[in-house]
Amino acid sequence: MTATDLMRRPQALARHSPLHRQHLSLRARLAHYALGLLPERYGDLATDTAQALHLGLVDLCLMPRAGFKGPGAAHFLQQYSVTLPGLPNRAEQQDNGLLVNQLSFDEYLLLDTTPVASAMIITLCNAWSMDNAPDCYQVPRQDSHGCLAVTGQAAWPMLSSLISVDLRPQRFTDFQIAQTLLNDLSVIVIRCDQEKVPNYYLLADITSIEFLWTVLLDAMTDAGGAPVGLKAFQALKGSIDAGDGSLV
Amino acid sequence: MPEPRLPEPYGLWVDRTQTVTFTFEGQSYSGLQGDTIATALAANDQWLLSRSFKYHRPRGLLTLAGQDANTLVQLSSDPNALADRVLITEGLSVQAQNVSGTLKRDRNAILDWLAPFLPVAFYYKAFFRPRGIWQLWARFFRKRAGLGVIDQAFKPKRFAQSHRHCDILVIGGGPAGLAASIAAAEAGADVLLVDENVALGGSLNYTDTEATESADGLTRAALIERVEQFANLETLTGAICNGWYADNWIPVVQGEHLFKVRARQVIFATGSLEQPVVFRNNDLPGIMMSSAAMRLVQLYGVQPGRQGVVVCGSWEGYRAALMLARAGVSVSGLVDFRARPDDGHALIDQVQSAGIPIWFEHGVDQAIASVDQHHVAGLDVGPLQAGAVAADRIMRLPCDFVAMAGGYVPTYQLACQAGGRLLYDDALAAFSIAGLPEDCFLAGSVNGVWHQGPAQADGVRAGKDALQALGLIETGGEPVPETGEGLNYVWPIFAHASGKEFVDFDEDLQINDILNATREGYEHIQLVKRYSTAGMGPSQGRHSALTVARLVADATGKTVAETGVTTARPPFAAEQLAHTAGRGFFLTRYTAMHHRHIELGAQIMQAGAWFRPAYYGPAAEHKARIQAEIHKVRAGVGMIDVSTLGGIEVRGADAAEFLNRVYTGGFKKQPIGKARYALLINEAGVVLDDGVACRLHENHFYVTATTGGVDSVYRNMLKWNAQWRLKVDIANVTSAYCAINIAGPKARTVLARVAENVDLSPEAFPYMGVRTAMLAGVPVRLIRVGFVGELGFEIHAPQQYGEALWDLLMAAGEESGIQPFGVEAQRGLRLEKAHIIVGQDTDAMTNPFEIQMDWALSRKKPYFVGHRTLQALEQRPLTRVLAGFMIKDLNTPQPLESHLVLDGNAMIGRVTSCMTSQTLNAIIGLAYVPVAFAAPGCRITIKVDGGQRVTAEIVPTPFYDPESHRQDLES
Repeated sequence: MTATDLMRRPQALARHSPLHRQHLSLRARLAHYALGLLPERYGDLATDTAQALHLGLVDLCLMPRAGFKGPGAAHFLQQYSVTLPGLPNRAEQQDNGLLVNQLSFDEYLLLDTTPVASAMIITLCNAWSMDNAPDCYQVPRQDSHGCLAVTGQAAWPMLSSLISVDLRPQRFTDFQIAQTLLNDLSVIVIRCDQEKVPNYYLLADITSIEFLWTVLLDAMTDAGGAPVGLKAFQALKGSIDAGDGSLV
Repeated sequence: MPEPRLPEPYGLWVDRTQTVTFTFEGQSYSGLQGDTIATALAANDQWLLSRSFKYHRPRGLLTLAGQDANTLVQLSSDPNALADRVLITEGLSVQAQNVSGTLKRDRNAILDWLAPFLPVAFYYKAFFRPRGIWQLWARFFRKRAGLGVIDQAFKPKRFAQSHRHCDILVIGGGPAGLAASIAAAEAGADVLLVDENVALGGSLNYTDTEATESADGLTRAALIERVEQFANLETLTGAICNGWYADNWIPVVQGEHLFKVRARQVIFATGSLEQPVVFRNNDLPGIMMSSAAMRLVQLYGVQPGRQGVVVCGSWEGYRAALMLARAGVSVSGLVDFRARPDDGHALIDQVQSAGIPIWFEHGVDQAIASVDQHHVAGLDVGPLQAGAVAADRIMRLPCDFVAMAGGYVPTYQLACQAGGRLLYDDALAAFSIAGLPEDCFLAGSVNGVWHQGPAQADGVRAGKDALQALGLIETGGEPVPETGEGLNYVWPIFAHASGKEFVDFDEDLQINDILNATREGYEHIQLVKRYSTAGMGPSQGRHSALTVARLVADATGKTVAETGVTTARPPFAAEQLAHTAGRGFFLTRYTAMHHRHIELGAQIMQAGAWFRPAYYGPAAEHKARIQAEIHKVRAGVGMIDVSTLGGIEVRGADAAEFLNRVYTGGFKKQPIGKARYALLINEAGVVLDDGVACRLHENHFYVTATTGGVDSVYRNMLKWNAQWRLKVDIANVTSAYCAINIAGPKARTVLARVAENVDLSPEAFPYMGVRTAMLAGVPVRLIRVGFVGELGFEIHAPQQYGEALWDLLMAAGEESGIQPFGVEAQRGLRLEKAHIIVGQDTDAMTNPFEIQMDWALSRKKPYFVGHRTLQALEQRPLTRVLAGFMIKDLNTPQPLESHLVLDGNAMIGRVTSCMTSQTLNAIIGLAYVPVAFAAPGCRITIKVDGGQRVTAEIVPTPFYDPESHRQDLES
């Protein structure tokens, strides 16, 4: 193998989800998206979408994420016209779809759930440095956390079997955040409905994301849940054409 | 012949159109859909249900509410099922339990005759008196221990669990609970109403409102109809609140589901438990609570017998007698312990008008058993003289059932777990509850407010109080006066010269058992409980606590209030292990390369939640594989996944100052691009962790920590900076970075094949240097370290590139014969260099001087955590040190970690690490030894497995490459 060969390899190998082998074992149909190899669907799209409407589990580990914290974080983000929620444990959806989640008085998690590179996140990450963003510190959320989505009408009752926070729809409303435990694992739960379909993002330590996936699938089995692909997830918010991948 | 069922409306809970067939003790019976095992058997005139725990006395239904041990039966897969709770199903097979032979002919019934020889605490006494007797008794007891039989072919299944939240949890669906729920729901609160019965209504289901003086308020049907109208009022029936825990966390068991309920406010509308009357043979089948007789009639349409007597010390007995008579049940008399009131009472007139004779100021001498001893056949009663039954004026009342109305005890268990105090009013002879926390309320009879109308009013009051606490209304409810006067008789206890007056049905405890416990010095109620076992059976003292308190109070000259009752702990009712077991998951953490290790044949070991490769290859070859991995690192190149190492970013203007305070070394003048060893101790000078601190920017350090220690390091850093208020941000980024240590003489060669924009030469990248670089497009942090004693680089990269980076280095090292190595080889490699592992070679007392780490302490700094303690420790002579030892004879048994170092027979130290080193052709290790034994050349004795003693020689460390030439050696 030549040095040139070696140089090429990481680009080809990098960026598949830590759940890649789980998807293979579940016979997912995978596709290359801008950020890597992800399950496009598990069955046909209609079945997948129906599943997502009832109770679906989506792997969003490769979706763009970023984090900023510190007393200067709000100022830094506002310089780039990011609208902040204003309160901890609240999220604010930007016009471009980016979800800005305020985790504490001075910590923000930026989450994009479209399978394309997020221009805003790239801009912010490129703009940040120790020197030009005083008192603002970048947090490696893309690498520290994995992200899953639990969708459908049966989502909150299923999650309530695992999470002790009050997730009743009338109490845990859209764009609300809970930082809690799920089977001893710290998770960030963000409610972000997709066109009136209940949807919860779950972010957890990337090294335990397979554990979280397994636990959720187990709990979902009792409630008729199953994994769904990105196509069905995108269909929930009416953007089925966004981020189409090339099948492998 | 079975008694015909009473006509409708009696039989509220049974469906007369559905017949169900089942077997009990092998005999077939039929009942109706909705019948419990006990009621279906009662409808078939089968009253004998069980044998008592100790004396094997015949027992029948007592409460018909699942609150006693008399109805415990064996189902095919479940022992100790409550026959008055479990509904019959087609083909259900039910057996009696705790019998030798059959239920009717139980050979162990002979124990009843031996009762005089089995005094209170007989079991405890058998342990030690006379000496050696326990060996004999043990055989006897062990044969008779336990009640039911476990089905060993049972296949465990998972019960569901879920969290439920509500504004107001109402426990108890009787008149007070229903009214409270409606009041709360009307105001918009989210209400969860829980009741243990199959249907809501509580006492409204079985009491006769026509027989009460307070028949105001809504009817049962009207209340339930209202409850069903609210979308914000959810009901759970057949569900038991099994305890109260802090912050209104309440487990609710409904069948095979456990709800973990968190309520903002709780209303205890738990009602009250009727109490038995204590007299000789009061446990015979056919003798039951008056509420049980009413339940039989109203809920199941079953007559409690052909002819009954009611015994009471309050008007409740009158109400029961009237209800039974109205249903057509023959009540041949009512025995009232009280004197006839001078001004009469409407209930007296009503009972007498119903043709039921009343004997005032009479007590019960004893119950008479039927010929087969399996049922009550009569009741001997007589006038009371000085509180006792006049022996010369006893008359016998023939009967086949007795309804006991001995008073009530509030169902206080949950309220007291919430912080309520149980008070006793000697005048009313009744308990009350006070001192509940602000977010808990009482309603109904548990609050001393009785009868339908007042209880509903009290429910509304409690509902409004809870609403006010929630801020949903401005003012709470109007207090409702207590209406419990005259419900309890002060002394419903009739001792008999021949005993067998049962106080505790579960444990077969009689009056004398309790009295004897106090006579033997166990006067405190808690000691009486433990000595006599009163209240320790399945019903947890629900029907014995008050009587025991009264007896102990009388025997010790105290009031019942002073005596009190024993603590009622959760669970309220029996629950299965499956309810609490939960899901069988244990938190796991995988590195980004985990699956590659599996694919390479790694044997995985757990380190906390982490899964790490111990070594690569078959388990049967583990020794050879580990040695081969060590050899590869020493002679060529190896790589190990060290992603589990902790990583902490310390950033900000005070970053250097912060590290200077946290760690023992000096960091303020550390150059950018350099790493320094970082030793962490606590305020007591104990070694907590170690790692390296890499300076990436004037205000940015990347600090590594041990796999097991990083969480503690991070917590301590946050704690300390909360005090210091330095301008610094601390972030635990362990998971965000994967890491690989590539080590060996060929490490640089391999790395050079993929490195970009970094000069790896020894001059440009010296030992303990730090660089940021790209490896074939992957952004990395490179640290030159020497933990394993060879030229080595730690490569820290974003987690997402972990697997690709691993593949990249494996490919780049292919020509150099690179081999992955696991944790076992790493341990061996570092031991050859005598590098310590914190947690293995240190303990909860180890200070830096004991492990010869004086060099890691900065003497110039004014302060670091533990500094003052170290100064003090330095003034004292060392008592032990960690020393290296060697055994050159490889045939010697190898010591293992924690083997003892002996001086004669005295323990003077212990081994912390040991291995057989093929590199050095010797057994090497580290051990704590006294200073006097630590000089090179000293010989120590180590006690190894099997008690054998081996001799080792103390040697200088490191064992391997003491001059550390190899960390720059390249081939």
